[in-house]
Amino acid sequence: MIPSVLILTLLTVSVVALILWVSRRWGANDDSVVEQIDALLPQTQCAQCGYPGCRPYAEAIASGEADINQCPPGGQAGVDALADLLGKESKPLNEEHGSHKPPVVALIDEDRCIGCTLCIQACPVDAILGAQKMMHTVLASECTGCELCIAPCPVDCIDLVPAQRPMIHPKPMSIDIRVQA
Amino acid sequence: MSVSVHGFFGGMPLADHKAMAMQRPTQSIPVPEALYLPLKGHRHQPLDLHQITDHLAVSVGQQLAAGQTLTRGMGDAHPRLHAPVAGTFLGIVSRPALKDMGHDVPCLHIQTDRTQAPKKLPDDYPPNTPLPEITPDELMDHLQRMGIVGLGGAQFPTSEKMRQASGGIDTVILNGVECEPYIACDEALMRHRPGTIVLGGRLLAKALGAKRLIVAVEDPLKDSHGSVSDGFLACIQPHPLDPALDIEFIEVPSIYPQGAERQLIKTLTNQEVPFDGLPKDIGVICLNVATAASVADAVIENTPLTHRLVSITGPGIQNPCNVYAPIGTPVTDLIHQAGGFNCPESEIDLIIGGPVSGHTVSDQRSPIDKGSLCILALTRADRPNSVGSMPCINCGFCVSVCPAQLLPQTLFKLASQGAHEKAHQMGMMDCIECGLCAEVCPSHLPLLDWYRHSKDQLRALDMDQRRQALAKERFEARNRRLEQRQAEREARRQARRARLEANSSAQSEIEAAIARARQKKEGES
Ligand code: SF4
Ligand code: SF4
Ligand code: SF4
Repeated sequence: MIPSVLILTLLTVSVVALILWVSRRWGANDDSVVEQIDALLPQTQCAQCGYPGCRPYAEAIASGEADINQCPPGGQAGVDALADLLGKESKPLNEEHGSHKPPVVALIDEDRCIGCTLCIQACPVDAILGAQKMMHTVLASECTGCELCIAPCPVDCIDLVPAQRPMIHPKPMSIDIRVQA
Repeated sequence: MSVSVHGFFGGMPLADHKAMAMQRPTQSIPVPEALYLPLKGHRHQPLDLHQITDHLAVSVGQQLAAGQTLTRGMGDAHPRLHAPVAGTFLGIVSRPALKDMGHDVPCLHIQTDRTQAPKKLPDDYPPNTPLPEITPDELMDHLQRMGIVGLGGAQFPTSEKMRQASGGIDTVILNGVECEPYIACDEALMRHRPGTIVLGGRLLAKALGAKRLIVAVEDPLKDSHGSVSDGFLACIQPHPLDPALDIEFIEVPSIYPQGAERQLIKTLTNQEVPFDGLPKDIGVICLNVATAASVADAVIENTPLTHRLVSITGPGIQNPCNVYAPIGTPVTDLIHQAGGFNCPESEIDLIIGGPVSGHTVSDQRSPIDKGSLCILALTRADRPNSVGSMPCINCGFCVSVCPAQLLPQTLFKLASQGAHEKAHQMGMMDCIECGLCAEVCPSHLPLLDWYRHSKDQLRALDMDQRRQALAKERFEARNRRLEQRQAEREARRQARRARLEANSSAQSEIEAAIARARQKKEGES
């Protein structure tokens, strides 16, 4: 009786110790949590969440400083995914930070651009090409539609146009026929 | 030469309805009033207007000669377009897309000169036609200039396909297996122009360094005019261009989807193309017979690809036939040529492609493109699946016919729940969209439509993920640059302060020395 109790206790203690050690050694650390959160954020880098980019927002979520519902480009789907990852209850998108909109890209009216370079400095992903007193243009393939270049432009020559989206075959409208009882 | 035929997994024989379109001779359509050439090389790469206008080779209002180049320099992904007939270029307009219900596609609008005679299906070249000397690179460039794309439906640029495959190709397969019921445009071509097809095949085989050329057709292609094989057998003889080329003509059993690339290759060579690879990985390249004919035309006659054979057929069509039509012809004109519908239009289900894997045509103003094989008018009675569906009963019929060896019912459940990524793990992207699963489903579930939806969603997701990764990379690179600049600035400031401090301490030492000297002086005096 006593030896078996002793053996079992010893076994339990050693297994627990092993698990603890393994989780310390290889388990999730802060960095990998931030990575995982960042991977779910849309990388628009628009700062609407109140942080200067997606990565800083991910860090703020990880440290518990920010809530999970502050990213408008991610939309409700994004909030749900974050809730899923962090094992939290999902909540509606916080409209104070903005509402979810279909994707856009910036387009500079090249005739009106005066070459002030202000938009270049504002762009978080270096998607604008240009130089002092030269016409500027947006690389549509790199633009995330963050809108940060709109406000600084002194001549208001940047517009947002819908981003090119691939076509999606419509969901079939299947009519269920059920046998009437 | 041994002619052995193996099988492929799954598949099913389907009732054949080719005779319907073959009962009348191939016709040419009177030049339509207006042509709309769709500007869409690849379905999943939408073009923006900037891109198009940069690559237009003509200006609005310009008179066009037949065969004139309309677009250029868009690379292999967006093959060139040429004016099918003489006319005036009126600009770029939006037309309803043939396959993507409810979407529009930008088109080049050509007002035609209606007095000109329509182009006829060219005569066959005799098998001993001399072929010009042309290097592989010249041939590929030439095919790109002539706008040659795969005419079996996918419209993949032939030049690009050859470039991807060059080196290591042993067998060229010319695919004449039109396995879908009703579609007969390739059969019409094979009956009219077997010599041209074989010449095109020889040119391709020579450019790719292949030792074997296989022409594959379905076995029951016999009618009152005899088998298509008669025409081909007459052309298969050594040619001065390539005396060593081994040409085989093989009839394969007609089991749907025998004409699908991977399934045909399996049947002919008993080798499977890796699921994540291309036929070239096993030394094979597979091209449609119509593509081969257009290659021969492009090389021998220097004609760009501007017309194609389209089957206008089905129980709802008055006079089913094959029509040789200019690319860009609206569907209405084609149906008109075939005598219109024989029942009220509300009864008709209009389909582009075959009855099993085709797409619904929602607007008859849609123009045909280089990949349009068949306009099929079914009556509602022929389409049980359009009536309604019942829940899946897990009967497994779909699993036993799926030639891609997938689990269609599982894919359906995942796709209809919106679990596209899980469906991806279950091989959704390997579905060849043959439509057999939906055909056999006793519950009439619209399986294929769900897969098309799910595959498009997955492609969009993939695009988003790639964009996100790019944005992240650029954001981080920019932050690193800004930080580095900040650090440099900070370092410069530190250095300046240190210099100033050094200066000021030296200054104070001098001042102290002066003060001491002064004190000394004062003490002395
Ligand atoms: S709000 Fe903008 S910056 Fe913030 S996480 Fe969302 S996309 Fe990134
Ligand atoms: S449509 Fe796709 S899933 Fe259905 S049988 Fe064909 S390959 Fe298989
Ligand atoms: S054939 Fe239809 S009912 Fe049968 S398992 Fe497949 S999806 Fe379900």
